[in-house]
Amino acid sequence: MADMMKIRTQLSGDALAIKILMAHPMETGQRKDAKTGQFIPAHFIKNVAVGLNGKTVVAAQWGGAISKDPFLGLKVKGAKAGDKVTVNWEDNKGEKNSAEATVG
Amino acid sequence: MNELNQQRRTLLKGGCAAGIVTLAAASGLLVPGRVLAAEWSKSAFEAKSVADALKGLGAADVATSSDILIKAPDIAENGSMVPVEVTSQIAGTQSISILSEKNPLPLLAAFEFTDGAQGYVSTRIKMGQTSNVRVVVKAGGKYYSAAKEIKVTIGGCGG
Amino acid sequence: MAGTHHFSLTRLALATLCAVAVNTQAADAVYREAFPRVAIDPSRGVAGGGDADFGATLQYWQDDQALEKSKPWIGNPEHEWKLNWKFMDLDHTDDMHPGYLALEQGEKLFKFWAKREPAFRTCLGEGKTDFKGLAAGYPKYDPKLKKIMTVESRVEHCAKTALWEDFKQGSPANNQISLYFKSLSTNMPIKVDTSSTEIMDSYRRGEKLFYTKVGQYNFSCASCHTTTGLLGQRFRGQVPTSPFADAAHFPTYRVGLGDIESLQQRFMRCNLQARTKGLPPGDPAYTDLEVFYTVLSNDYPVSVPSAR
Repeated sequence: MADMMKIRTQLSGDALAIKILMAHPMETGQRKDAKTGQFIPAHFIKNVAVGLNGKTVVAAQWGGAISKDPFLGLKVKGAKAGDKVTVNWEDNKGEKNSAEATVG
Repeated sequence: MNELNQQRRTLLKGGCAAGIVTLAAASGLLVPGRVLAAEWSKSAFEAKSVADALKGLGAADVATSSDILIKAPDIAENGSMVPVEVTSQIAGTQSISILSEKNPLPLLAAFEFTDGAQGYVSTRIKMGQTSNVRVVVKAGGKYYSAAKEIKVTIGGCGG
Repeated sequence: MAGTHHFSLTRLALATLCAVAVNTQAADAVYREAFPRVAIDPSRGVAGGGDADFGATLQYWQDDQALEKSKPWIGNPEHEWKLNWKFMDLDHTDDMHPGYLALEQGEKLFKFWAKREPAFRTCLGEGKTDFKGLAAGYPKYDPKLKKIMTVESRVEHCAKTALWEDFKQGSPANNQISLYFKSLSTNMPIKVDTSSTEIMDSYRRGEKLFYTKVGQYNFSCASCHTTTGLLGQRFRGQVPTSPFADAAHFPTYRVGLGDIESLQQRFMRCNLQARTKGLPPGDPAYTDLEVFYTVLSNDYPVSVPSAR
């Protein structure tokens, strides 16, 4: 499930709305396992980079308090149909994922 | 019969696990990692108070601004997923940071904008309790801030 | 083998039932109070204004248009409850919620198994390979299995017979495949066959359970989810929802859980919150309750994936 990411784009004029949904547990490290009483180790996305045609437009740093299966909505000016939107993330365990979508 | 069955099931399970990995690889999403632009500000994200988090972000002389719009519910039914939408109408917005003041680690996220990205971000956050959600915007090297209180009720039967 | 396995499961279920005393056999031994009944005509469905005695709130939230019109009520304690909290649902405010990730996972899982073992597909579709609209007819009576089947019990049954896999009801695999199966009927009106004797017998049993008081608090479902109960009134800082058109959204993503859950898992959790020992998903009593709940959703469109 961790490999899943959904990207949706909507273009009106040259204004591009980007919506991203990433599958990730986003464990804060402060939650206890109800059965063992032990803390569940922190596991969260630390960095997200959103690019338009290979150029980073939004670079985000996150803590563990972004909700599970994170959602991210952004707006970019100066886009056109056929542009490529890329999303890359890396979490605190060094796991990475990326996905790409073409502006329709 | 039971044992045989069990054996076949174990075999099938093994087969399934391998199959899923292949599926993931074939889905094309496992592109080799690329270098991410931003560093992760440990001092800001591991700060236990709003003041320390702001210090970690390098934010000083923060001025209150009415040009930062925070769209979020007044009451959140469940603190584990609170939708928050931030629009900065301040010209030249370079970054938006979101903090939940009473969270054990107040800083939730920091977004940097370049090359046409608008001072806008929509996401969903975890809130431990009723608190101010504070947004800090950096524009033209200066820092601005706005806050909105979100009441968090304890999740129960609702729905 | 299958027979023995089934037998032990039934015995386990019966043992649990005796402890909670909600089925008719056990009810002979243990006296249970019942909440006063509200007349429901199962033939009316949602379109026939079946919820007239449940606050008649459906008209305010049954679709996006109605909800939009009623939005000025948000924040008004006198009227807000009539929106059934639908304005808080992520599926109405955003089309990207984690329910869609679970759906994608379910599709992958189903396709993986159906490719490996085509019998899994034909079993789920009862001979049909196109699943469009099939889920809207569930729960239904299966004359071959001589049982009321829910989508979840069909998935469990087919996994066992076609794959020799145990996709137990309430397990992630079962929930995800069930969600995928139901999504192929999204926006199609629910049509539980109320002309079937077996379904109506099950409906009556489920209806009885709806009003039967159980557990430490001596609560029935009806204590909260009828207007003669707490529907429309604050309770623990919340206002209980209408039972009408609720089943249409399951399996649904619950933000409090961070995962999808089936209707019967929801029953289990609601029982626990009312300090009643829950039953395992797939228990005959929960199946009857699911039949009752789904008949109250007749005519309402299948609404998955959803999130709240």
